[in-house]
Amino acid sequence: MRRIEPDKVHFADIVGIFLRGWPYIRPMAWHVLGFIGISVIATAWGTFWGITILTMIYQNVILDQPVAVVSASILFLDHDLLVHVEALTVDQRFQLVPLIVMLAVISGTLGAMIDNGGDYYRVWVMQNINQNLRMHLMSQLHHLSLKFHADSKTGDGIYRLFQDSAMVTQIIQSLVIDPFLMSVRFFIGIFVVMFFSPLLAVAILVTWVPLVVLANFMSAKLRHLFLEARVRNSTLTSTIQESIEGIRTIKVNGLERERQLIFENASVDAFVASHNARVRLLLYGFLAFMLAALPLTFIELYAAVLAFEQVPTFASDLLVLFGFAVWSLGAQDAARSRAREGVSNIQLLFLLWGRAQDMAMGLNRVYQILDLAPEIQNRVDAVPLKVIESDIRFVDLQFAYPERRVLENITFDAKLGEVTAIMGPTGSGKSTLMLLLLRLFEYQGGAIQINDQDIREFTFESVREKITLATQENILFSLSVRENIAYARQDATLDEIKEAARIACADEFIEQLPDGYETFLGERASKLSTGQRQRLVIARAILKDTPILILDEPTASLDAETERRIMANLKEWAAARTVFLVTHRLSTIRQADRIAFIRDGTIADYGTHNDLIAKPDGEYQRFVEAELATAQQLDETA
Amino acid sequence: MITGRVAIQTVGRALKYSLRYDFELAVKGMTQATSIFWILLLPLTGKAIVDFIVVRDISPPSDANVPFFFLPIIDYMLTLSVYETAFFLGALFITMLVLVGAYGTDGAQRSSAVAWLSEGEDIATRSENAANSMHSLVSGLYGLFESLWHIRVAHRLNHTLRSDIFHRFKSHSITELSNRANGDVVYRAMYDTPGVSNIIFNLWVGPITSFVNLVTTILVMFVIFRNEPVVVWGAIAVGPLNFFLMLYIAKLSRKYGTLAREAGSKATAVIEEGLANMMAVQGIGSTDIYVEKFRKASWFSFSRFRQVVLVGVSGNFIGFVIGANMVYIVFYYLAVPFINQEYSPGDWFVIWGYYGAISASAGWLGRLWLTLQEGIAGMHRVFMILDSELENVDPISELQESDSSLTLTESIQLENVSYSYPGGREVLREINLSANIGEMVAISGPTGAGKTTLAYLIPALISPTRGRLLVDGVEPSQYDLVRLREQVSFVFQETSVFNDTIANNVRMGRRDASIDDVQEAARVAGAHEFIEDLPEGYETNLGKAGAKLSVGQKQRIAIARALVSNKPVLILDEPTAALDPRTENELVRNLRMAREGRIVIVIAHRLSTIRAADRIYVMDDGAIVEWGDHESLMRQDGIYARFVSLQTA
Ligand SMILES: Nc1ncnc2c1ncn2[C@@H]1O[C@H](COP(=O)(O)OP(=O)(O)OP(=O)(O)O)[C@@H](O)[C@H]1O
Ligand SMILES: Nc1ncnc2c1ncn2[C@@H]1O[C@H](COP(=O)(O)OP(=O)(O)OP(=O)(O)O)[C@@H](O)[C@H]1O
Ligand SMILES: [Mg+2]
Ligand SMILES: [Mg+2]
Repeated sequence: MRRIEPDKVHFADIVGIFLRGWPYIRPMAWHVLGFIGISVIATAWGTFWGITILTMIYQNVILDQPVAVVSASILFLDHDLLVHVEALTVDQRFQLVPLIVMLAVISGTLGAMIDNGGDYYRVWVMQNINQNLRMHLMSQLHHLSLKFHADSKTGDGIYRLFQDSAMVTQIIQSLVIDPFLMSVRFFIGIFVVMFFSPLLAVAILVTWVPLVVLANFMSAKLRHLFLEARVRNSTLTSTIQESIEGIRTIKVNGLERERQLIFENASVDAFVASHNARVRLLLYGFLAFMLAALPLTFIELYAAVLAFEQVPTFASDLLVLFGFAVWSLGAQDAARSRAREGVSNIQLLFLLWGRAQDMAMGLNRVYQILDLAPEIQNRVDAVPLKVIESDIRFVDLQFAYPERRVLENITFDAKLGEVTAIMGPTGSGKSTLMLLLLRLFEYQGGAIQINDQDIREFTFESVREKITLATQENILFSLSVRENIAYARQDATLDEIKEAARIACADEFIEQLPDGYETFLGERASKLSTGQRQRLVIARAILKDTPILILDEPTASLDAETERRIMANLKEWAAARTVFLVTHRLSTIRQADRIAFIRDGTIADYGTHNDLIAKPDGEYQRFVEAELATAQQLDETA
Repeated sequence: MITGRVAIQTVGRALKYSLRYDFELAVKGMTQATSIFWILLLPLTGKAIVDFIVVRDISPPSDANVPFFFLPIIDYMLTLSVYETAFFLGALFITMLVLVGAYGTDGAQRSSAVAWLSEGEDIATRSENAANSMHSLVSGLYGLFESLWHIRVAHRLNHTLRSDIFHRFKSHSITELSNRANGDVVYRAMYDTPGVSNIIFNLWVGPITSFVNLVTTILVMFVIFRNEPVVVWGAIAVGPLNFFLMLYIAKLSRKYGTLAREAGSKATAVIEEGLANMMAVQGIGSTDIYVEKFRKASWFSFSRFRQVVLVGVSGNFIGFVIGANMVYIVFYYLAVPFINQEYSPGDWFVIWGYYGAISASAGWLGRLWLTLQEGIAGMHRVFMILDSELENVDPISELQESDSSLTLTESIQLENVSYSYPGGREVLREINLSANIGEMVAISGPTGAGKTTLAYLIPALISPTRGRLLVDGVEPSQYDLVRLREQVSFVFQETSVFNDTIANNVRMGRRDASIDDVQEAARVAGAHEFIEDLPEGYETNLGKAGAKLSVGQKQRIAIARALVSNKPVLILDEPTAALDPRTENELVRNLRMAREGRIVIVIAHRLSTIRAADRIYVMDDGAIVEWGDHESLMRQDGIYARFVSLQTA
């Protein structure tokens, strides 16, 4: 699919954008038909009774024309007395009044019920359609790799999920039903008026020509402005989100005023963009109205003159049935209302086209995301990974972020059932390596092998199912303690949750919380200390209970005592599991069976603690020295 | 739940709010009220077509049926032939088209200058049209002007309100903010504030217009159809009928409007939380769970909105029944004089034109209370925030700006300080601590002991529930707190960097820092090397919440930010947690140097960091249990000694 630029799209592209909404509408197709059916019924109902009743009031009450055949039959009136006469008597006209009122009450009430019921039904249908698109967009967002998310903005996601996706609800109404009805009314107008006067019909028919020219002239600019308005409003949303996310930093750096300014500028930008777009649409609507109103003025007056001259209508043989054999007040009224209806519908249609440019730009912003090929995809012949039977081997692994190379040549084995520590200076790529194992990024060269097969030969879902990551940054959700621990395994029993909390040494502080496991932790779980949060993250990973567990700096925020206890618990718990332990802490590393030391994108050292410490001038040895340096100094001073 | 009383108060406040733009609103109100004059002309031109062309029943011209201002035109038309009249009326219509975009017979043939855009089926998407509302009863040049004016007023109102609420959110204390979902902040600022347009235009402009409309039309009616009071009274009755029959509906509307907004805000929070923490969601394999959670939240918000729709639909139905039945009644009475030929057939249009105008205005006024509820639900949520308690430090308020000259020259002390989080237990008990310029003070202790909480007290992020904070031996007044906070730079335990360049992130500490200052700070923080390695160096954009850096790198950026600010107090909460020993040692050495001329307070678990301090406070369970320098603490052989032995063994 080609990229949509507001300036360079054609009618077909716009239609293409709307057609792409079909998959989201399809599941609701029957309901769509249902509510279309209802609105057709409601319209037909309203139109039929409206015309019948108004004609009777006008022709038979205000004037003294005989009652039309149709109306007389509906009301079971005596045709001889009321239809086949020259004129109605005053008494007859009085007698008609209550009948007309009764008819209006019944038909009106029923019509209003159908109308309003249909409205509610339509909302339900449209919400379903919108929900379908939202869900697709949301799951797409979750299939896009972290590379995408590093550059995307949260507020922008909110905007696309809400505002942009909502345009899908308009496809049926604004782009199928309304244009259809409008065209139909336009042609009905022409059709009806044709019987009165072909000239007037032609006058209606040509109204669309200048409108097309106008639309053609203004669409590109409209699209541009609409897109701009969406972009600016989405930026504003992001500004709010980012400010509130970093609020503490803003506060302690005294940046409130600056942030306020950034916000107000973004707010003004958003309003200016919306202003420009809407004013342009306003102008467009104004011009369209003028172009349509001019011929209407002509029609109106011309029909009036015909009525004055009382010339026969064009198809007087047919129209005599409705009492319009010659142009009269009633005929003028009937013809001009039809003409007006026809012309104003074509005008509305073009107004709709103006708004449709906005819908297209909105939908296109959704498709932009849907069109991104997820970086992580299953190969066509990918099979699920069932049991892990071999060591996890990193073979000559290479990886670069778009900005920089991180891993050049990583080769080592993580033995099944062992704890492998990953060490290295900050920024050396430890966390990155773990993300590659989880297939959250795609490596460029070499391989990670499980069961002697490249993990890319397995489906990524099945690989991720076998691995849990306790992230380096302690991310929890605004839920209770229990729900947070059970986030990745919602069916866990309370006992299992408590057991996981015990292993992570979290039970002791949880029990002191006001509501224990049910305590609500606040936004981003900010009602806990960092070390408490870290332990919940570990508990969550433990509860998930996968064969491979990655702990990224699990003890960074813990004191030595807690650290010792957690590591001892973990060592025991992980006996039959494969654990990756990313850490700088010597005290934590002691629990590892083997150590891989990353430096400058390669494995600089690999082996057991004893091997490595014996290796003269190895990276690990230097690291241990650095860690112990301070302690040694202390011993000297003591 | 919002009671009727609160609802009225909310409306009152919204009106008061709008008084900031009294001139703009007055112009809008006047323009709209005047536009009614044009609309009143329409039935007359319609009558002219019927009487002067179609029926050509021009003798005798009954002036009684025509308002005075139209008489000259009638007089003029009396001198014209049918065809001339047609041309004359054509010219008149075209002129009116250009001026007010209206023409023709019965008032239905007019365009109104509106430019709403398509919206979805929930409140969030509907808020855009409200925030950008523009409207005029007529079109043409007049309508264009009025609409442009309208959107300008709407934008100012909404901008002011959303700026205010944003400011308010920023000024909440951190404890208050932890109770509030980020998504809720977004929702209130973006989607609740437009409720103000709804209330203000409906209340400022609408009633004026309707009232003027009502009075003029009624007067005209009494002049030309003084024998048909039923028409007028019937049309007027539509108002009270609507009001009383809709009272209950209004209550429901308020209730469900609020619920729908709550559900929408919840859905926003779910999105926000997930998108901002994608690595955690994907890393623990909870994608499906999360997506399911979103599905529920989103659908729930839709369902809540459907309840709003249901209430609206019921209101419409009742409104229809009232309006339609009144039409039938009036028709029933009006048929008599027409059958008796007391009026010309052309008068039929005029009478119903006026009836329509009166009953529309009366009905509008009657339904006004109902219409307002939608905005009230939103505004109430906004005012709740504007009324909420602020933290005691408000840097934007002018009072605090001018009045204080506090500068820290000697020391900070905590004297018998206790603190409990709102609704929580006491997490600090009887804390006594002092730190002097030139010192590096360390705080250590088990996790959850209250170290971070204690540090929050110093820049007044929280205030002691008991005890005192002393600056240079005196207790700062409330107005000094802004100044106090300005003297402190704080590196949080969990660092936050913004989606901006590295240089700008560092400059958050001091806006006017030169690039040399930035580099120097980065060097001290041990960040310079890796920054130089990046292809774009200090201009590298860090991505969402710094997603493009390793955790240790982020931490060093945050430290550089604190260092560049060059303030008298530097607090570092676990600055070395994510650093490898070599980087850590270097940083600690630099920090020891940084204490020259300032107070450095460092919270750490790691011995290598702590032992560099001049004084160490050891906390346990909210209290300071030991303090002194490393040697004296080792001699005490308490908690501290045990930690040391654990780390060096
Ligand atoms: N999304 C990203 N885009 C671009 N570069 C990235 C991204 N994530 C990380 N990097 C860079 O890749 C390198 C390795 O980062 P990684 O997070 O793997 O380091 P780490 O070894 O875990 O460090 P730490 O000990 O500080 O956590 C760093 O230099 C970092 O700047
Ligand atoms: N916003 C809050 N609301 C309620 N309780 C809180 C809040 N923040 C922290 N607490 C509680 O206060 C206590 C002290 O927390 P604090 O963050 O000060 O600990 P800490 O010593 O910094 O621990 P760590 O070493 O883990 O960072 C903890 O028990 C924590 O659960
Ligand atoms: Mg890392
Ligand atoms: Mg802490």
